[in-house]
Amino acid sequence: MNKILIKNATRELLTNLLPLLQQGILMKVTAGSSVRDFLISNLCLDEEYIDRRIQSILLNGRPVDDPSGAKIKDGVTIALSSSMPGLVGATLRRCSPVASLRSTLTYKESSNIKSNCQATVRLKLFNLIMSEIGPFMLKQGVMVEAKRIQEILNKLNSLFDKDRNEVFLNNETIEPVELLKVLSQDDGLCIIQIETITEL
Amino acid sequence: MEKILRINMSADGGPEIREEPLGEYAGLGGRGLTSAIVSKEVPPLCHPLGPENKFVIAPGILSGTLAAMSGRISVGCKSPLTGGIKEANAGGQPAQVLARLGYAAIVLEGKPKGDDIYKIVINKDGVQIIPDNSLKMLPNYDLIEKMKAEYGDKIACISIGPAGEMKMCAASVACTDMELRPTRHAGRGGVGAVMGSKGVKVIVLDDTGMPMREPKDPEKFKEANRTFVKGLQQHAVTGQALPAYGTNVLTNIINEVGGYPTYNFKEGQFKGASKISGETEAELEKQRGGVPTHGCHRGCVIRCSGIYHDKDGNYLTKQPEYETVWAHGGNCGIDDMDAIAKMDFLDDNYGLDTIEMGATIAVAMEAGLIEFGDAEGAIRLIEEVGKGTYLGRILGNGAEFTGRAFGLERIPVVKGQALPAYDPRAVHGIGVTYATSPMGADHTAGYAVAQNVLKVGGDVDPLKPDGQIELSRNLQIATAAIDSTGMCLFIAFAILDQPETFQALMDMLSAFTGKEMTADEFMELGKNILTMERDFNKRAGFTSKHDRLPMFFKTEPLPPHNITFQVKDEDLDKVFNW
Ligand code: SF4
Repeated sequence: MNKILIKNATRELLTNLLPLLQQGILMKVTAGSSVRDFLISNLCLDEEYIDRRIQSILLNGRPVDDPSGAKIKDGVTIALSSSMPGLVGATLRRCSPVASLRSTLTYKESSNIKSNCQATVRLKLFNLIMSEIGPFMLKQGVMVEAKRIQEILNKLNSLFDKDRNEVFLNNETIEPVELLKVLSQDDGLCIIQIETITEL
Repeated sequence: MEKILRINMSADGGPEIREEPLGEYAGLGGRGLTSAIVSKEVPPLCHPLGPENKFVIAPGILSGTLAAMSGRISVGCKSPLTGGIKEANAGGQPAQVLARLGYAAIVLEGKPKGDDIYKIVINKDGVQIIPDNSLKMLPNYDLIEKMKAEYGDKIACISIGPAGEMKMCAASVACTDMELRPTRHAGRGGVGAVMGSKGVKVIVLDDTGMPMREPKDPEKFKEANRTFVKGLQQHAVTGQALPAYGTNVLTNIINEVGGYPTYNFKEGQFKGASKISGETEAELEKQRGGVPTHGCHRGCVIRCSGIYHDKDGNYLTKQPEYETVWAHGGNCGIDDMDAIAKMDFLDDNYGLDTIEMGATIAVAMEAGLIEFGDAEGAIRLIEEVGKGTYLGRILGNGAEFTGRAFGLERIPVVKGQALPAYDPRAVHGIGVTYATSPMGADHTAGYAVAQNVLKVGGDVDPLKPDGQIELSRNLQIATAAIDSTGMCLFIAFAILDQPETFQALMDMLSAFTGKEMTADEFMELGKNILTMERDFNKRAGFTSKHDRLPMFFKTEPLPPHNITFQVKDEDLDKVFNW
């Protein structure tokens, strides 16, 4: 798997890469752990942030009311959102007073989950959660489809060029144009990590 | 706001203006007032475009005061789209200006004898109604430019575009925003066609020299307003999510839960959703020098709107909101934000409801007129509507009319009005409101989510599935009440979570009117409005059979969760049991 490192990234460049997170990044986690454990251990979020800020948790597109009871399986998608407008937005909030309006959609845990083996999870971050957690995740490095990185970098023009950024592919320096060529031929996953000029 | 302005368009010798005290309508505003006048004065069996129908415009109870968020205006009539009673509301400047001019409502009655088109000009010196045939068939933007040149830039306008003049069932009534652009629309139900049938093209309002409306208890009012604003600003939805991303922030999450109607309600997820999400749209606006956080009227502190620029950095339209982006986007398989923004502009300019038009184009796509995903084709279809070609006249009459014209079975409408951007198979509760609202399928009919009011009629366990009927009932009641205040419905999120913000709203109403307003009285107001509206519809021939979703929602499972709409008909009939 290719590993890309972009140094001297501006905040603007970082912001432009955030859409990677709304479409989802892949993470290796332990199967059978709860969604709450995943948020604490893998995303390093504190309980207060989880309870106050992350108002909607979706597991395979179903709203989760109890993140401690919902377990992670291989191949699942987890999406995180802050509280949303609209009646439907309100129904999707955890333990919403109007949750009964989406009762057929609500996540229900099934018992047969293999524990302690490795699972791959797609994590999607939306709205305020994306803008708050996203930059730190990009700093640590995220795993995504190479084609999606290429698609985004391609549109950045002057924000991503050799005069501004130092770019590394698998620890070797590479010109941005060359990187785009490599990515266009890569049908697999790759890791992208961003180092910004200023502290976040 | 102690008088009603009535203009009889049928009078011999030209339109006749008269002013009346509020009389039996005293204390009402917004939807409460439009629905009271329509239900009492309009014969339910009349033709919506005939002289017996009335076109009513009413600012809310708190409009024209210092109260934040109080700039919504209601437009009411018998709807040519649904055949029932209609209230459509809009933001923009006219509510505040009309209220300061002292009018609780404008009522257009009768029908002009000739084919002259009129403008109405209201300022501190009085009311004039002037025939002006140079305005005929002008699109909204050109019309407003002309009014600006004539009456200056301190005005606010209520107008129709060519769609309203052609009396199309998808025609909207436009209200100008703070920049004097016709971007805020009372969109639903073909209200623009009724204004067109009265021969009125534009109402020009100028409140120069008029004072702010004064509350009975100014100190209490100011204090309540302060608490109210603080509540809105500290809440994550009204203080952060809506200002940052606008209502289109919903695209990602609704798509993720599989409730995002795609390809004319065939699927619940759209592959291109992230390309047209609120997050993407806000970023694009910033990059192009637009504005992602902007109010639609002075006094809005949430500011869910914005300004959208084209690729060259020039103004294209206001920030298209969630319903519009969905209707012209995912529902038609289109993931090009610029094309969607162009369609938003065209709808505003011709005076069309964006939801109805998007739904209609998706129906036309299903009929094979153009392919799903064909953005250029979709733009062309709206242009046909604006020009009034034969095809345009079919499309301009909405999804149901178009579906019938092309022999389709899958037409997503209730009472003739297109469903908005949430598939009721994913979220059954919203289907209850779509089916039973007297307005036809309407996402705002059950919007007012407030913990206090939800408890009216007993506590409902939020995680039990059987509470949907009670919830829909209480939400519809609370919404009807909020729609009467002139308050933007988006305040609902802050009053859901923060009892002190809800109380501040009650205090503001009490301090303004001098009469104590409790949560129970507030709900009573909502109930009365719904009762009047249901009664009108009953007299217009509506039965329980009209309170149903189209059959395909019960028979076609919606991917990815493959669920059908499962609420029983007999349960739907219980919504209005009180
Ligand atoms: S929140 Fe949005 S719709 Fe409501 S008044 Fe403000 S700008 Fe208008």
